[in-house]
Amino acid sequence: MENSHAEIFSSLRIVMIDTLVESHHSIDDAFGTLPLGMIRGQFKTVVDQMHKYLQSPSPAHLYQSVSTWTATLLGVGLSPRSVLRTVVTMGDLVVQAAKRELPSGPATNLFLRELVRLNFNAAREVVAIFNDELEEQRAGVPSITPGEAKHAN
Amino acid sequence: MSLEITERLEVLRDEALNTADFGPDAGGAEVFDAILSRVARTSETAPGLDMSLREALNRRLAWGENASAITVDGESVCKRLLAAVLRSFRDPEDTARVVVIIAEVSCTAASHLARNAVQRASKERALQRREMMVQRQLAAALGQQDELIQSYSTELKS
Amino acid sequence: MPTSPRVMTDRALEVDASGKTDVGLLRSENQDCIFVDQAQGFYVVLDGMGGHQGGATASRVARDVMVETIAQGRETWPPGKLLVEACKAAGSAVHLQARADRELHGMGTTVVALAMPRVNQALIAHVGDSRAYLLRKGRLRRLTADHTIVAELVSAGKLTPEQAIDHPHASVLSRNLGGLQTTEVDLLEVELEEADRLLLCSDGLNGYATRNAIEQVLSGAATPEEATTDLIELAKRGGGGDNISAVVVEIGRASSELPETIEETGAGAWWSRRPLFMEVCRSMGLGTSPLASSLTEADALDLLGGSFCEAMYLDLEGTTGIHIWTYADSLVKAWFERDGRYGPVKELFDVLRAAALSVAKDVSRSDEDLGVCLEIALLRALIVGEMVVGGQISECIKVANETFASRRVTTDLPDATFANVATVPFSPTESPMPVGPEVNKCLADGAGAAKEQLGGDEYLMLHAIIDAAHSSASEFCGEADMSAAAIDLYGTRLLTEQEINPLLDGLETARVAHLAAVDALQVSPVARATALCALALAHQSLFHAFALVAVDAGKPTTDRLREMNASTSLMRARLERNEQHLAHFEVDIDTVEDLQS
Repeated sequence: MENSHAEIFSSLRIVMIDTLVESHHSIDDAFGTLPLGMIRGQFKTVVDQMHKYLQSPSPAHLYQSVSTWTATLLGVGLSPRSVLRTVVTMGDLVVQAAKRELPSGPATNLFLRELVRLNFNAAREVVAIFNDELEEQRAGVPSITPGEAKHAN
Repeated sequence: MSLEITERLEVLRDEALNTADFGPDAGGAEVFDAILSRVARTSETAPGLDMSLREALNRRLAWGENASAITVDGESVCKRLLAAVLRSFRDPEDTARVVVIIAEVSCTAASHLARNAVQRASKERALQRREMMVQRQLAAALGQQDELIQSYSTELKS
Repeated sequence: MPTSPRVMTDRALEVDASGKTDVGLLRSENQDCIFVDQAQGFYVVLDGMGGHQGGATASRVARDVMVETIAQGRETWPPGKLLVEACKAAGSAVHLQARADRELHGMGTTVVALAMPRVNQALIAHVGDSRAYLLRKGRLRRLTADHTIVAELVSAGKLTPEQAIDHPHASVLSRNLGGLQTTEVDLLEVELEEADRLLLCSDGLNGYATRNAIEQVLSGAATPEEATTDLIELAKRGGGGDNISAVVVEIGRASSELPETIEETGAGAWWSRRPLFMEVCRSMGLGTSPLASSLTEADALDLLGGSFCEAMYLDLEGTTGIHIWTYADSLVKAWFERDGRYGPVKELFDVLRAAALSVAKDVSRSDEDLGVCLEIALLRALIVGEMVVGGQISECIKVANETFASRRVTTDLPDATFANVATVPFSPTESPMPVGPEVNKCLADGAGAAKEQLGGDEYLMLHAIIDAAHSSASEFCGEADMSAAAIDLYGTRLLTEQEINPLLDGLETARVAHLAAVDALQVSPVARATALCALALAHQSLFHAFALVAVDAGKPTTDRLREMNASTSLMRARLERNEQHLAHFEVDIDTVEDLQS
């Protein structure tokens, strides 16, 4: 199957993007300073990356998406702590949107579990990225220089 | 503004950033990039460009770089770029337009850094207040401990 | 405020309510105020403002006047009218008191008040940005619109919603109780259903907790009292930068689908499999985790695994993540403070996750859907754990970055002062252009024309900026030290965000007008380009010098904060040492007593 989770996710794509855009102030205050068009574009990317991961769960792809997002959010001016909170909140909002839109029952619960697993893995990646950064800082070499972060962005 | 001017400015990158001395990661690159974008993309609104510049500056601040250093980096790059533009541009009209844009970007960066510094100071003042409250509580607890120690000492001696 | 006893107000439905207010983490005084009268069905949240003492006075005066007005007018006014009149009377009283006492001048308060004449009818009056929310069937809906200048401009069609988002005065209130003699009060009516929950709160809650988190906590708490406690805790976790107040009113019993499944059977299923969880933890070596290296293996297993199991049970029962947060926070914080690394923490959480998921799998064997729901709840709790770990690592990064930044400044630039701590040093000073009489005339004409254009209240400041730039451009025509002008402009105080904005706006206005005036002059293109360049340099030097002054002005605050942090640490260390001394004393006294006996 494309698999069925990816298919369900695809049918909810617009709702999920709308939910994220509507709640952008709640995700982090920093989003309140960005133009709505830019915010929608960023959330589209996030939702599409989640869809891609559900289609074929690959740790390498998840790492790439999460690290790009981390650099982007740092660029918006978020602190590392806020970046993690933002990633988790976005994941939560997507789960809530799915819960709202889908009929309750075992099939929906299986889909929700897949989303929550994805959120957990994403949160863990962010923590691992920050830990790598910390280790390099302790060694005296910044792993993400401003220039590198910009390219990642 | 014409593509040709953008290309001519791009050529001045190394001179403006002084990469000969400081390598490809020389500070102030974000200001130079913002100037290039402002010159190249006449259709894009200034707030959009401001946003990119602010993002880049925030990124440097987020990684704990010294705000004074970022400010001086930006100013130095603009000064070197101005000198290079005056030397290499022939048409006074082009020169004038580029000079105005350099000043605009440079001042935007400085404004952002000044605002940021004030915001940070406000937050730190609030944290100071919290710390004072904690210290008051700790001082009270220490006072109680001292009294207890005193009474134990007396008890042991007797 | 303690919960009032549950009372029956209708044969079919019952109302339960609780209200709490908290000073938060950063403020020294609580200027919020609440009132909960379940018997009369009247609830209020007020958020005072107006400097030292003013805010607290305003909210308390308004509360007292509202309570009195409601009590007196209950027999004569219809409920909606009574609520509005109570708000107006409160506003008038605050205004009069502010006028009578110079120290209280400018005080005011927001209000959101709920009256329930019948158990299924809610009347809500509000002024300002304190809010009312309705939780129905697990979904949170905001009932009130904030009274901010920007929101009113949008509804008047003078601003688009997009413009409102970026508006610099997005949070400035357009209305409060006490600002004026009379206040316009918004009133709305809501038909309530069984299991609805109403939340009244100050912006200390919604400003520091996401709507989603509020929804989760409000729907997950077993009782209104638990909800208010958890909501306040939630806002504190979000920073707690303001006073926090929450009043929760419940009609019947609230519940939500997924949490209900978990609450009713998941928590029990989890707890009944505690032996399985502990066995998996033991077999995966949890007892030898470096995080509990000072304990025996059995004690470590009990501390790390047993406490997790208990915290998870409590969270499943209450459908919150608070107990897991506390568990992770106490363990991880202590570990990183001892300079511990991430590896052992990751291993700990890997073991806990594997053991937790084996429980979910076991539950699935007898009830697959319950097993799936339990896994969802477990993973969400584990995400909370990741957030705690990530938060702690972020703190360490901050410290490491500060160390790194200061090392860069001190080692790379040993003679650094505030004016030259750059990662790229200045280029050799050079005069980039010749200054002829035509350029000088051009500069003089431009300055005159710009000053003529700029009027208004700020003209003195704008003229001073133009004079400084003009003088620098015509004298030096290149490198210019604008520090003195920047210091004059900044003044001698530490500026607030509100105070620095007009100065930066003034610098920008003067710069734009100055360059435009020179650009418009009828002179040779070469002279114009040269003059523009000189002015651009002068204005940007002024801007940068101003930014440096602003940065420099904040440094004593940073240093003082660091000193305070250091002295707090010393005090904590002394406290610990004293504890040890006291313990020794107790042993000595016991020994002496034993010997004597």
